[in-house]
Amino acid sequence: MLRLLGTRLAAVIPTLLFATFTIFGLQHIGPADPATLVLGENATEERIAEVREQLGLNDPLVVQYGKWVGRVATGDLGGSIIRTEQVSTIIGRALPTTAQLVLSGVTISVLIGIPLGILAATRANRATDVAVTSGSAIGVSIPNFWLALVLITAVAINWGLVPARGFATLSDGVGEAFRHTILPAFVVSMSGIAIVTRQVRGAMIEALNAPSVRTHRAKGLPWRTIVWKHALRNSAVTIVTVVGLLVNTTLGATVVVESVFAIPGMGSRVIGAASARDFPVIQGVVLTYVLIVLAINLIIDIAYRIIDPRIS
Amino acid sequence: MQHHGRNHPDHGRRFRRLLALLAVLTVVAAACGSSGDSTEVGADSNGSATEATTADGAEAPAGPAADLPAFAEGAAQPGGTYGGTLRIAHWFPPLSLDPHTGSSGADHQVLYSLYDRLVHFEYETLEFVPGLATSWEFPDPQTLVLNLQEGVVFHDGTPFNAEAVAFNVDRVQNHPNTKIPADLESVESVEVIDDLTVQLNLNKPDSGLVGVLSDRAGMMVSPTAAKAAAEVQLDATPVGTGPFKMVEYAAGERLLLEKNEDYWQEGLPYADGIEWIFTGDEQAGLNGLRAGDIDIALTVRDGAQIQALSSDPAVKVITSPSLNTDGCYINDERPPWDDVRVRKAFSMAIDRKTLADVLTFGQAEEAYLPVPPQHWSSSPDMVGVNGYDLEQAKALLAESGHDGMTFTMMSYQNPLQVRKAELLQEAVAKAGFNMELEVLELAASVPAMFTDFQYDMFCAPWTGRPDPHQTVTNMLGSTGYYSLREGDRAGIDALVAAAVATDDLEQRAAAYADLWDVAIGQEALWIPLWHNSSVTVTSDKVGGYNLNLLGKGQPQFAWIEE
Repeated sequence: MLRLLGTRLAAVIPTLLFATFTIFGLQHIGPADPATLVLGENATEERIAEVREQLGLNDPLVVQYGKWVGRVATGDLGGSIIRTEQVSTIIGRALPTTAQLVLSGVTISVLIGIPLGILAATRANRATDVAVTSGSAIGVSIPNFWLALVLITAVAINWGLVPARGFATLSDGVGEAFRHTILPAFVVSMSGIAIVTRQVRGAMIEALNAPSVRTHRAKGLPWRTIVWKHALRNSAVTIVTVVGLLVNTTLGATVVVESVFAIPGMGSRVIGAASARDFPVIQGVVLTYVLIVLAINLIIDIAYRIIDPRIS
Repeated sequence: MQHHGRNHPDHGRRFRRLLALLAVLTVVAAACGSSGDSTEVGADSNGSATEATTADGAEAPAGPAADLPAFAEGAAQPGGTYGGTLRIAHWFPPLSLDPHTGSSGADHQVLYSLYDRLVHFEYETLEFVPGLATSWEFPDPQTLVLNLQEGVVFHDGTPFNAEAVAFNVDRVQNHPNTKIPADLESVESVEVIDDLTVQLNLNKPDSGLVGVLSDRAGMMVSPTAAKAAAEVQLDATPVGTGPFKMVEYAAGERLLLEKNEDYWQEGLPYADGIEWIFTGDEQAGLNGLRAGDIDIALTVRDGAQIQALSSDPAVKVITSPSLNTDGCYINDERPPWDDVRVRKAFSMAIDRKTLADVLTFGQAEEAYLPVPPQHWSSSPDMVGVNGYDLEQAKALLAESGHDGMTFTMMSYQNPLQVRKAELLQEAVAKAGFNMELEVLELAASVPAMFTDFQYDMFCAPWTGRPDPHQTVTNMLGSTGYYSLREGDRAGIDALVAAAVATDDLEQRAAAYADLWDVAIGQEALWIPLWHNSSVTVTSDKVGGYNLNLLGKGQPQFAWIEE
């Protein structure tokens, strides 16, 4: 197990290096000089040169990258160049919000997606299945910013059931948190529901066609037990994989959805930072995303080796 | 970010997914970033490149302007209701709460509730009225004497006096991160005459200074707090003399203010507090307003939204003429744009009225000057000068020998801006211009045009300044950031200086008429397109929100009716 963990971790390193290089490179793609961004229109040449020196912009790119990685490795993400605030402070404030949203979204996806997938699989190629499958196709296709706008108008503005914008985390009380989370979480879960449904359906059809199922039926086991106990367990690897990937998908969805709901999470921060070309913030947030995605992938990898010993 | 499911993703797929995530994030971030476009052409060091407050407005009730009496800031109004907390949505989060080291054009609305300025103005005319300075005079054109309000204290208890003014002038000029030293470049030295009298000695006549003191440079920060703060920390812990003081701030999210009980202006403010909510997106503020958890949504620009809201009895749509004026900056040092006939031909090829109607749902008015007709420095003689005349445009271009010339206009990523550029492209093609269009990211656009001189032309809104002197030095003077001239042209620098040689408003207006005639009329150095309106939407319970010709709303003295 430890060896497995070791090799997996080692495999992550090249990805991480590539990702950090890309993230670091972001600020060198755009035409604007960070020093002039900091100083504004009336800056003198001397002052620009001074700030370029302070920001280390005169070093060769590789040296700058090395220094940046060195700092980041010790947890120092630097400070925002627009506001006097540490990037880690900004992320520390935004991450719990986004985490709550993502976890709620994934939970909704799973709670709705798994029963739907099983339903479709047990009625494969019949009307219910067709309805569920085409429903999930629609679910994947609906742009979530559009869905967000429609739901805000209907549920929040016209019916007044939940707030139209903003957020509350669990520290603001469970009730408040629930009222603020439910609508955006449903929006970010939409494509997740569809994905879970389709994956579970596929895996369950495969599992239900296995020779063992025929044996179980011949032995007279109730159909319900076969579906929920035996076939579902055999689909576990798929489900775990899908749930893991869902975290990644849902995380991506939050970027836009947070903006529509004006939720002060990671997505809103990265968009705000991008419009201000506040590179340290962009870099910090994107790096956090990358670390989350890599960590999730690692967990999936290990999880399905535990669930299914045949995978080595 | 929607994936069709796959059963057993291998590493390659996962890696691609990661790349896709990165790519999408970058694209999304860029796309959303450019919708945050209310910016000062250049006044922002941050991403908000230009004074590009877009006015994608729509038809809104024309009425309120006529119905409301004109108020100066700080005059208590009849019928105001005390108490309650105003919840104000501002789609563009302030970048700094320090008036001197920040520069984003969208910060002002927030700064007004925290800081008073030495000079305030009438909301609808922009005529200057007393602020922290009760009166001022120019004993000679190079001396400005300010008499200060007695008994004013900063939020931290520091007394406001002549010493504090001297400290602030020095801070504007010499703070390592000041963004506005140019505003006070005419101030040579400051003399403290007595506790409530301060004298600014100028190195040249500059009557525009009074207007400058109603902007960022006139916002007084507490010397105690500024000295105590490590360098630039004041941007998150503002200490002014304003009607509200800070309670809590989550940068980019929310700013909670409470009433300054010791406020020096009798009977103000009305509200017990203000909760600023920075939405990053105009739609979110309007949604909150319609759902009842926002009282004021500042600076609404979506024409379709404005139209929809106008028929909603639960909200008030307040449309105000503003200084915000769309126009084209030309790199006139570069041939063939150095030929005035080419510049005039371009101007005459544009049917301003039609384009503005199409683009803004009829909310903007055709412009022939960088200042709107409501402003004292406007000149009625300029109406129609270099206006739409396609035949004349063709003739001028042919005469210059550049018929069919190709040039590149740069625009930035924003649906309205791109649409505008495309409409212009089509319009000038009829006169014989082959205009190519390049669209840059907002933050990159201004430096590309004005620092690196990469393009022939850039058309963007200018948000305006309290005193026209700030506008003309920036835009037309040979040293201005938004002027692309390397030296003086047609004696314009002298005309710019002449307009601030006196503080008599009539004489100044006459001087501006001369300047407009030469710079905009004869030389066509900046091509005015249209004057935009500024729109704010409030719930029907909000009273005392005033129109404001500056275009930067001042909600600090509004109230909530029961």
